[in-house]
Parts: sequence; C-alpha cells; structure tokens
Amino acid sequence: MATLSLNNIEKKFGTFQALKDVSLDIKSGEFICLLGGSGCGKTTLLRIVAGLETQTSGEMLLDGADLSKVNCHERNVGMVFQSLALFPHLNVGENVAYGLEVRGVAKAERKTKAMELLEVVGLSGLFDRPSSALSGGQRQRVAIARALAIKPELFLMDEPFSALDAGLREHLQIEVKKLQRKLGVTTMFVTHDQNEAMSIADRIVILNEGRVEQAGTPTEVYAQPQTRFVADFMGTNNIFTATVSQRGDVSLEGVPLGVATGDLAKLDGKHVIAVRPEYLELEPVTSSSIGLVGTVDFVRLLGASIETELSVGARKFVHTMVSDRAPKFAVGDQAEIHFDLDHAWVIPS
Amino acid sequence: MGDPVMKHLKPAHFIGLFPLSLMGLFFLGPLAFMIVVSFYERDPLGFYNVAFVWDNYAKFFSSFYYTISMRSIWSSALGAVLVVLLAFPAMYIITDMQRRWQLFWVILLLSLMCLSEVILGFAWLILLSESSGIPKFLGWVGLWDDPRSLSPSFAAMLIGFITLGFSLVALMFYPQMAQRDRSIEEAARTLGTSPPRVFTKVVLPNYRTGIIGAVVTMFVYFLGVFVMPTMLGRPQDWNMTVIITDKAVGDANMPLGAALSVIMLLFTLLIIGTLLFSSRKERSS
Repeated sequence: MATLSLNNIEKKFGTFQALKDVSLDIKSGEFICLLGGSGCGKTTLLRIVAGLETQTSGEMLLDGADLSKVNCHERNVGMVFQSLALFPHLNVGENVAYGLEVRGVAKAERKTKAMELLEVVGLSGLFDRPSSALSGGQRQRVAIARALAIKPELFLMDEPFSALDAGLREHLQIEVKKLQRKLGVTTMFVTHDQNEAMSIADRIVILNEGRVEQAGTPTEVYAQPQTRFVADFMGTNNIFTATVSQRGDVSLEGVPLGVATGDLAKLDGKHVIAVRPEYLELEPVTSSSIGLVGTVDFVRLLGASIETELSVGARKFVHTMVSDRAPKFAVGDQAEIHFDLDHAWVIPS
Repeated sequence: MGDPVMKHLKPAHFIGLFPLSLMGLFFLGPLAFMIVVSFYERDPLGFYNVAFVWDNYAKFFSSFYYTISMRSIWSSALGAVLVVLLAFPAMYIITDMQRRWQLFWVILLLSLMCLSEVILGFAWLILLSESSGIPKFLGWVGLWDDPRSLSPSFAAMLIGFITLGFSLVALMFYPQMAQRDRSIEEAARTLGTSPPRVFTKVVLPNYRTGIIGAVVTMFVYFLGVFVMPTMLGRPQDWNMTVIITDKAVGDANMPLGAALSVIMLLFTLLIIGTLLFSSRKERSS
C-alpha cells in the first residue's frame, strides 16, 4: 500500500500541452478514477505515473520518495492496458508469472503464485491455455492477474473494460472493486464512462483539457458539480443561467420558474444552475400555464427510467421518470416544465 | 443436359486458373524442361543429345560437387543469418522513429532495391580495393600499416550478400513492425523488464515465425545469387549457382547443369519442408 502525491504536473508534446498544473493526493488503498473525454490527458497522467512518459515539470512522490527518478521497470507498478497487451508468445500461466520470472522468483514458486492469482480472478484450470484462445472477459482477467502478480505498490488501469459488452463490463467492474478492496492496493483507473467511474471509484478526478476540473467522491461530483463542464459530463443536462430576484422569484429569460428555495433562496442576481433530469416535472399545457413550455423532441426507454428530451427555442431540457408509469407525452407534444428548485445546484464557477 | 461437374462451376472457380497459368508459364514449364534435359547426354560438338541417362546425377556425388554444395549451404546460411540479424533490429529502430523519418528510410531502402546486383558489386569492389577504397583510407589515417585489397574474399562475398538482402529483409518486417501493439513492450517494462531485455524477451519471441521465414527466404535467395560470388568471392568461395552456370554455359554441358539445378532445388525444398514441419509440430504441441 502506498500514497501518491502529484504536485503541479505539466506535460507538453511539442507545442501541445496535455497536462496543466495537475495536483492530486491519493491515499493508501484508495481507488481513484480519472474521468474525462478523449484527449483530456487522463491516459497521459497514468502513463507518467507508470513511467512510460516523463512529465515536463512537476513533482511525483510515492510514500514521500521522488518517483520521477525511478525507471519504469523499477517502479513496481502493475498496469492493465486498454489493449490488454498480453504476451502472445506465452500461455495464460506464463503471462501471469512473467513479472515474477523477471524478478528471479523460482519456477515452482511462480507457478504456485500464478495459479493462486488465476483462482482469484476465476480462471483456475486455464494455466496452460494459449492467451490467443481466451474470450474477451478471460483476457481481461489474465491482464489483471498479471499486473497484480508482482504485488504492485500502485495498480493502474487504462480503460480496461472499454472493449467489453455492457453486461460483462458491469460484472468485471464489481469484481475489480472487490479485488482491490481485498488487496488494499492503491489504484488509479482511467475511464471516459461516468457510470463506470461512479460505480467503482472511492474518488473521481474529472479532467478537462489537461486540467483537474473537480476531484471528489462520486456523490460530490454527481450532486455538487463545481463547474459547468463537470455538471455536463456527469449527466446534468439542465444547465442554464437563471435570474433570482430580490423577492426570491426565479426566472429564465423572463419566464417564471418558481420561488427560490434551498441554496437558491440565499442568492439574488444571475447564476448558472443545474437541475438533474429527475427533478423536472412535465405537465400538460393549459390556458393557465405561465411557466416554461417546451416541445417534446424525443422519448426513450432506458430500462428503469424513461427519458424525455424537450426543446424551448434553442435550449434543450431532459426529464426522466421511472419507467413503471406510461409516458404522458409523445414526440411533438407540448409540455410545461416544472423545476424542483429545492434540488437546483448553483454552479460556483 | 450439361455436364454435372460443369454445372457446379462458377466464374469464381475459373479465377484460380489465372495464377495456375502464370505458375505454368514462368515456373513449371521451364522446370519440366530442365528435368527432361537433366537426363539427356552432352554433345561435345553441340548442345545435347536426347537420351535417358543417370550420369549427370551420378556426377553430383563426386567430392568436388559435394564440397561446393556444402560451401553453398554454409555461405548462404551464414549470409541469411547475418542479414536478418542486422536488418531486424534496424527496422525495429526505424519503426520507432517519427513518421517522416520512417518514410525517409523506407524510400531509401526501396531505392537500394532498385540498384542492380552488378552496380552494388562494383561499388563494393571499389570500396574494398587497395588503391581507392577502405584499405587506402585506413592506411591514410594510420590504422593499417600495410593496406591490401579486401576482395576477393569470403568476407567480401558475405558483405555483398548482406547488401543484397538488407533492404528486402528490412522491408519484409516493416508493415508488421510499424503496426505492432507497442503496449505489449510497455507492459513488459511495467512488469520489471529493462528495455534491452524487452527486445530479447518479448520482441524477438513475438517475431520468431517472421524471423525464421526471413532467414529461409534469404537462404534460398543467396543459394541462387551469381554476381556477388563471382565479383567479390574467390573461386573457392563460389557457390553451386556459379558452378552450374560454368558447366551449362562455359562447358556447354546443359544436361549436367540441369541435373545440378534439380538436385539443388530438391535440396532447398527439403530444407524448407523440414523447417515448416518442425515449426508446425512445435505449434501443435
């Protein structure tokens, strides 16, 4: 178990700045998810920690010692790659035992350890199978077992489940989380999928254009996004600039939305607010409707919920409701949008 | 009512006739002719007399031809191993360069392939000569007190082989290497392998089949080269191809030349077959 401190990490590729002043403290045994879109720098940060890239500037401390001065092959970091990178010329057991072989562990001992790990990841009995004869999920488990075989101080995973189908992905997310808890290894996990990050991370670090936008527990980043980008990325689709009058009335471009409650009640003036789709309510438009009226653009069933997308001029709003009720609106219908302002989150920046 | 076999034949089936006819025209036809001629008798006053004799094959088993055969195999095998040993790491380094440098090297290697064997041979003759090449330069800088010509020699012939095969082998590996999954090597590094060991423990084993293929290809290629041994090698370094040419053209003994060619062909097929069989056996085990 190890603590990792990243202080003011910068990385430039020619004129392109991939990482800008990234600082992060990762506690021993913590499971951190680096979350962000393509090109945000999350994989670059992971590769710097692994020693596969060198930071342009900044400090990286592992248990207080400068990690930057340690060569990649001497860092004792277990990494699972997006492509998995299993050695094609070795069978399953040899793949898992590879790191032990490099460390000079005796053949019998490394076979025992590899078999133990294969049992942990649910692949006992596949020791002699060629790595090319495995399914996607099995390959994934071999890659995880191989990275953990060396008892790494840091366990790094770079979008390891991106190529798997949804069911298998969810199953492996749970398994990895359980395994990480059991071993207590400090873990950094890169993903672009906010649901994946929410389901496995102790803490989520959201990156945008090489900067840390927000770092916090899944609940914090979901319910209290600190920037518009985070709110948007975490799926809060209803973000707009609302005006709060001194009397406490909230409006959007002159259209009344209701009376400010909760955090909004303490404010006045213009503020960017985010209301999650589950805190919207849709009502049929009547002659007495004075609120925001939108046109239904799209209705879709998402298993447990029904999502309705509405447009008000150029603005889009998204409403969700549990799917055990029949949708009240069809595409093309008009609906009055009510916001539960008690759950409106004011984005600080 | 048409022929039932013809009924099942589709236009796609006839496409296979195209490579077959090319094989027949450029390879099987001349080969069949050569096999037939190998059983003919030499006519000292002409070309050959139609006959069916084993004499030409029997001559192969004399110590002269046996020695030449062994020498051909040795020089070709050594040349093949050396050229792959040099070209493989060179291409590994090239494919790790920036795209524009990769392109530069590929164009350079392709240009080298455009040069004829004779031009390359002459270039080495000059470079290895006492009067104007490397020996003169080494003498001039004081590294060689008594500079002498380095050709003809076995080493000069091998240099010629390497020059011939280098571009071919390097370009053989280029597509595979340029598109390789580099994360496999990175995984080895994160697991504790130093960069030089990554090359020996991961890269080389991954390209084992390709390397064996390249060695066999070069071996067969070097068995058949003519210009480099005659230009850069000593008579005792000459391979079977030179001897076959000497017999067929110089001595006007076409039947003997044909018989020696057939034996060399069978020998080559035997070596390739053994290698294929052993690699298949290894894969299945």
